[in-house]
Amino acid sequence: MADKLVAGKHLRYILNLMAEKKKESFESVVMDHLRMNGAYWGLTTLALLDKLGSVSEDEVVSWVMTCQHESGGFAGNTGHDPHVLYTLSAVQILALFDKLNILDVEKVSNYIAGLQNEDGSFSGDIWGEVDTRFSYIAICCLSILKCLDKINVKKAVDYIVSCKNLDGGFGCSPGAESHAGQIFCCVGALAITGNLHRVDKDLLGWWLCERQDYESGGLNGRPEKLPDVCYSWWVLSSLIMIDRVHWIEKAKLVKFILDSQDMDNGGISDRPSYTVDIFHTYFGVAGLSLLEYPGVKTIDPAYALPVHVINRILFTK
Amino acid sequence: FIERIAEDNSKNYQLWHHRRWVAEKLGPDVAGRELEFTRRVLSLDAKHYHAWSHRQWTLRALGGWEDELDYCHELLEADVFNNSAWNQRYYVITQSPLLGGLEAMRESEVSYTIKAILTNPANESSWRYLKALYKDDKESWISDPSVSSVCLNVLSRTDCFHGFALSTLLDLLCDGLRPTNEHKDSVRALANEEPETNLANLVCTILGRVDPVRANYWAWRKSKITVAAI
Repeated sequence: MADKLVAGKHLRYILNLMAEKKKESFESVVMDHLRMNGAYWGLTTLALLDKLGSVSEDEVVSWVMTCQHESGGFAGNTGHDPHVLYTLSAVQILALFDKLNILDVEKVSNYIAGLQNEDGSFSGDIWGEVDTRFSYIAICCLSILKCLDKINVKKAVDYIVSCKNLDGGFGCSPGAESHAGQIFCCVGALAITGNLHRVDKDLLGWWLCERQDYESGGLNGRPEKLPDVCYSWWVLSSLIMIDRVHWIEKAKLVKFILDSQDMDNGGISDRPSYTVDIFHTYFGVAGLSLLEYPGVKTIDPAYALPVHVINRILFTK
Repeated sequence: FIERIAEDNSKNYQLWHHRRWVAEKLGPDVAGRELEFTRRVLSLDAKHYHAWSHRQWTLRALGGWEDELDYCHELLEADVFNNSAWNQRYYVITQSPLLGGLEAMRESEVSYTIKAILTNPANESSWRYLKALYKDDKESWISDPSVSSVCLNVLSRTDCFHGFALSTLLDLLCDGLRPTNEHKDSVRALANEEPETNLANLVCTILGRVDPVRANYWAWRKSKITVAAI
């Protein structure tokens, strides 16, 4: 049982992982293709713990830029294929370091805008997979780059709304099961484009607060699934965006996240007593940020970046 | 080739998409094969989100609706708590060109769902499915006797969670159901405190107790009750 966030241990855990690209570890090789996502998770966690200065900004930023493809999109690692998933993470990383100015904004935004389909949906890359995750990514990324006008926002929003289900939730495509991860993406996109009125907040708020398990205090992502720390982000940020977070029992959720820490080696796992990973470490800390845990900086629920970073972007030209 | 990689890496999104790209090129003949493929993945993880998404795409783009409702039943027999299977069931009854649509299917589906609810009253998915069957038809929802009677049936039991039965009854009351004495007695039997004059209020109070992790939500519901004191 844990009663506090062992931030120092998590810091060491993350720094070790980030240094791992110099070693030939198994985890490092396996995660190779999505290193950009991993870097975003690790670096944002450091920023939330006010320890971004622990990494070499130059090293990270120059590595990020080696991942940019001639199409303007970013890949998961140097030499891999571009995809919106990694493009957003790359832009978010540059935003953390206040280095958005080194980007050829025209190029990146054209890459993303080019992935919008006739019906308003977005593909993830040139191969065409469609998913509301990509709608969120496109909208979030273009908003950070201040190029939302490059896409048809109305159609994008209408497509997202077509993925709304009777329970108030959203799926990856019309008719797909409501899932907290997809809900975060849809609600986030609607929030960023000023369309939260298209959400039935009371109905969705209830569906979201039903994710909390009485026994453990943790949140699941769909009915009758196990609680998982990552839903502390997706469910919670959605609840905050629709102003219904008071419908969950916050103290119990804090306890669930803290109990999922590895108190000796740092890192957070999907639930107590399981193996830690960078993904759940980020979502656990981000969840604690949303729960206003002391010592954790405030994160923006729609952009998934520290509020001071978003303010810097939105309030400068 | 794709199948071998897929079985080991089934959470790799791109893989699913590549499969769709290939299938589209081959046309409707491959519907059966795609359905079989997703069936195999679902046999290992019956709630696999990408597999379900691929299955829905296959039905929409290539057809093969004939056995889908039976397939949902098969999965629900194995695990009545499988929310994905309930979602797919809804997808089939509303989208299948071979069935008559939601209203035509409602009676048989209500009967199916009620059986499932009575077997496991703590199943969030089945209660949600029941409500979904009355999409946009409040009148039928509050006037169908089997809906309110399944609530009463569950509430009269001492061996199970009452939360979903109570919240369903609450929704019915707020939508205009005029409670009978049977409803009132059933709810009052669960009340510890002073019975309130308004039945819907009392239901919210009880819910705050039996579903404490959502106490704030039930308190808010109580504050929103506008039905006249009953």
